[in-house]
Amino acid sequence: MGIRFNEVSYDYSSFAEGLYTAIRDINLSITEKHEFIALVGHTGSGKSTLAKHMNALIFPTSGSLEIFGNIITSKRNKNIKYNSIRKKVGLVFQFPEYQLFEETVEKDIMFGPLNFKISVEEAKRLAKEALNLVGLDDSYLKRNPYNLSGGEKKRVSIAGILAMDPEILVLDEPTSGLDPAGKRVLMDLFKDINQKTGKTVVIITHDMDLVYQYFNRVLVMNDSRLIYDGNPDDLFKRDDLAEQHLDYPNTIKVLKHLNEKLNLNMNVYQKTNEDALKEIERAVSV
Amino acid sequence: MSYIEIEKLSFSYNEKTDVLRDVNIKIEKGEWIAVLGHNGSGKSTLAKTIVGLLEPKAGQITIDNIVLNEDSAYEVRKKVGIVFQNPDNQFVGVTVRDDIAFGMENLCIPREEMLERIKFYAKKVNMLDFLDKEPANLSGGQKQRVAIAGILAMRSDIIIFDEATSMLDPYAREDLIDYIRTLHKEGLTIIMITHDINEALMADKILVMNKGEVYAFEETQEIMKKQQVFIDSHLELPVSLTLANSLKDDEQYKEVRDQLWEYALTK
Repeated sequence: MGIRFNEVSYDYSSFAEGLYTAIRDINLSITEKHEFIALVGHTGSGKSTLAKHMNALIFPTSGSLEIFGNIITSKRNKNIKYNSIRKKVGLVFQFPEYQLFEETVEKDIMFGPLNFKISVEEAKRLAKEALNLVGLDDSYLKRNPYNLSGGEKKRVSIAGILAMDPEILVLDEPTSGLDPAGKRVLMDLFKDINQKTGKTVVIITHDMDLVYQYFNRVLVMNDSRLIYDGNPDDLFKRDDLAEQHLDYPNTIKVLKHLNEKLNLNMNVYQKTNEDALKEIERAVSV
Repeated sequence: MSYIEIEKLSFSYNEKTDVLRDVNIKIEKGEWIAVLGHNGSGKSTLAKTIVGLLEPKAGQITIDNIVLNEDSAYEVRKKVGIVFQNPDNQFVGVTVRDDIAFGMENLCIPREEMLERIKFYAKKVNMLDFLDKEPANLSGGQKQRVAIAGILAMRSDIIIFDEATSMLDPYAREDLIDYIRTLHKEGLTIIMITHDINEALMADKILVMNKGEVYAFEETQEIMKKQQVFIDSHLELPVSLTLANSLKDDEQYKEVRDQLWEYALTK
């Protein structure tokens, strides 16, 4: 179960650039429970196209996907209920806060469940639950989404997807536009949802510090191909990341700089500032 | 008199809570100011009052010796341009050319001169080949550069960037920052609202907003030594400076501290 990519490729055709292969020969398997996965790669590497396949928003040009037992190929299959796939895999686009449109937070969150023919009563219950799950209390239900802060709007829009109770949650750069504290609060929230509900969470991000600290599996896209699928620790030990248009986490970069300039012999692979500090103190006192 | 003087400025959206409270700031011509603050600290509201998009509840803004009010707003807006966070929110024209022209049209600049300026400033922001393209088909970074060209074409010499890089990917972001650096060298006054502490490090001075008030306003090098200012304001210093500030004030760490500072200011 979950999602499996078998040799999936996708071509975009545009008037300006002609045919363009956004993802190429992707093989990948994501289980529906307990995974916490980062999806990284530079702009245009194919991250978002990959994500859009995960709930059959687009179909592969060649190859096939299996999403919760449904086989997705280039042709639309009358026997597959695509709607039910989109309920199982919830996709949150970048800057979802620009998509809020209802007059109250409650109505906005209920929109998804109602679309899936759930009763109004039940949708209300789900809305309340989802709102609490993203860390907002019931007083927000009757508020106008336009009068919320950026961080609150983001939470409401994420609650809108959670209310549909997806098995897998896919989020496209959910922390962009937030201040550093807001970023961590939101990441803690996703981790919390992942641990409490067991839902698999896939997060697209550019932030290597977050990747290093929060995730145990990372997928790297480069030039339309999946070039890495494994844990972040091994990824950041490689020395060819610049060629893959990837950056290193800040702690590693700073400690490498110190090693180089001051001829220290530190272990640069420290995830937190506290650990980095201890390592500096150790190296200097030797 | 400073180039921009903000005195006892307050602003409220709903009469109840003040989003800005007794803000006093002086900015000199040609300075690059970074404005930091948590979400909801009043950064963007401050920017909008400076360009006259919002009317303050109390206090006064003076730009180049002109007091901002209903009568002078037109005059002041010629001097100050603003680039917003979402590049899609600021396009009005059908083509890049129309878009750069929009501000000038409002100033009733003669057609001949307008066409000349469009070419000149489009070239300056590296968008000359795109003049006939639809803005909708540009990348985020290109859109922001078109917005800058429109402001420069009005001969504004103050540009406010309201989180203008936050929706861009890291490469487009670097590109835009490089460009801001060029504008600064040419003598423009720059007010850059940002969440990115590494971007703020490039400014001459940093203004930290906290709950609608000016929490600190100092030279960049000085303020970066004050870890507590950042902790209090829910901000984070770059890793290198957090480490530099956390090391014991001890001779044996001097070299390390110097290197951490060098790293912060050069990378």
